[in-house]
Amino acid sequence: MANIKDTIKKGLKFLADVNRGFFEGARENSVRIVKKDALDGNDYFILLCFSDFLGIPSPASYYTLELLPYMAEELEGWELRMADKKDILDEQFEKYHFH
Amino acid sequence: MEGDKVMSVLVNKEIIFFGGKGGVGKTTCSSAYSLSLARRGYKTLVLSTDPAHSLGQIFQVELGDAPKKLDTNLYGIEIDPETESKRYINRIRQQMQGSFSANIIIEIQRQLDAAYHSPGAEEAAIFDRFIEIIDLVGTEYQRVVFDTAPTGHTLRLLSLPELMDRWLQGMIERRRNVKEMMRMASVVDKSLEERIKDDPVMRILLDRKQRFEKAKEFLIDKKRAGFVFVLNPQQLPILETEKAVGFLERNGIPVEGIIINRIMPDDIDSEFFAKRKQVEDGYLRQIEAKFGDRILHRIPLMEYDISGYESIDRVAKIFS
Repeated sequence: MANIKDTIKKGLKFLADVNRGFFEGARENSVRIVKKDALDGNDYFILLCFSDFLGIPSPASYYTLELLPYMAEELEGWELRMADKKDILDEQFEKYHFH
Repeated sequence: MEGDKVMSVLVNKEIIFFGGKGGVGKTTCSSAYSLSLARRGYKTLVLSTDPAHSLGQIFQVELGDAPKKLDTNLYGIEIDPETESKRYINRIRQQMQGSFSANIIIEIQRQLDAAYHSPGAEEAAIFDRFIEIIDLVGTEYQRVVFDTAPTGHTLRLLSLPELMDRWLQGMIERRRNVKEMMRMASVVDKSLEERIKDDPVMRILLDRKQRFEKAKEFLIDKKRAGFVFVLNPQQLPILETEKAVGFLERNGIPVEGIIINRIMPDDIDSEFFAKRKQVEDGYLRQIEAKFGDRILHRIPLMEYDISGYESIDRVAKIFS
């Protein structure tokens, strides 16, 4: 009897673990996607502000200069990322493990 | 008297812009009008937004970025876009010192040096000063008179708030969006929390937007601001004025009327000038047909230059 109880308990625990693992994994993955989207979105925001750093003129460039003291630190990495964008589709696929 | 019409139509407006093609007499009219205001007891600021200033020349004083007294109740400024942008860029330079890596500093300095010459920088600098001056209306000064740059330049300047408002709106929305996503993602990455905590960037963007909106509101407020065009009885000034009036009205900026400057006298004894006068009459009829009762005043061609205090004084008498 005790044996059967143990087996059932083990079985339930296993199911619970699978269940938790599955949802936590999914949750973590979705947050990871949100984080990637947030960072991408931030890159686009910087592009709106400082496109002229990349040689694309912007009518707002004079006004966004005053944002520099607060955004300068992000600019170096941003410029590298922008220079490194070879395949935008590839980047999107990577987000969803489509490789 | 027509001179009364200028004063009666314009006097209650806190801000009047004088516009028109280059060389038609904008500075003459704005100087004369501001002198008339000052003599009626209004504390008046007259300022030139034309990078090629001529306001100081008319009053025969050196004008600059700080208000200078021209007469009782009358002060003058020539906005210098370069001084403006230098002040702005130097403030940024100071904020940039320390705390950044050498790489970034070099890159930023390069950008700041280039910024003086970036397209639109001059207008942006003039517009910034314009917004500052609007704040002085009703407190420091009772009336402000703008001697604007030739039409094209001024129309670009006036379309700036509309254009910038849209850009800023886009940036603000994008920023808000990013912050919201970072907030969600900060559940797994605490370092993101740091990035959204205090946001000076958002603060600056919202502040800018607010200032543009204020300027826009002022420009379209018929009770407070208005535009006057000066033209000569010649073909190109008429065409340009017609276009500019259309542009302003489409953008909701009130046009109060026009002043015709440099009309030849009737009694001419030279055959050459009599012929010219006939051509001019044709243009005067055109102006009449196009602008009718919006004509505020007709100023005759004078035998002397409008420069120096005495001649301004004579023109001021026409408006009073």
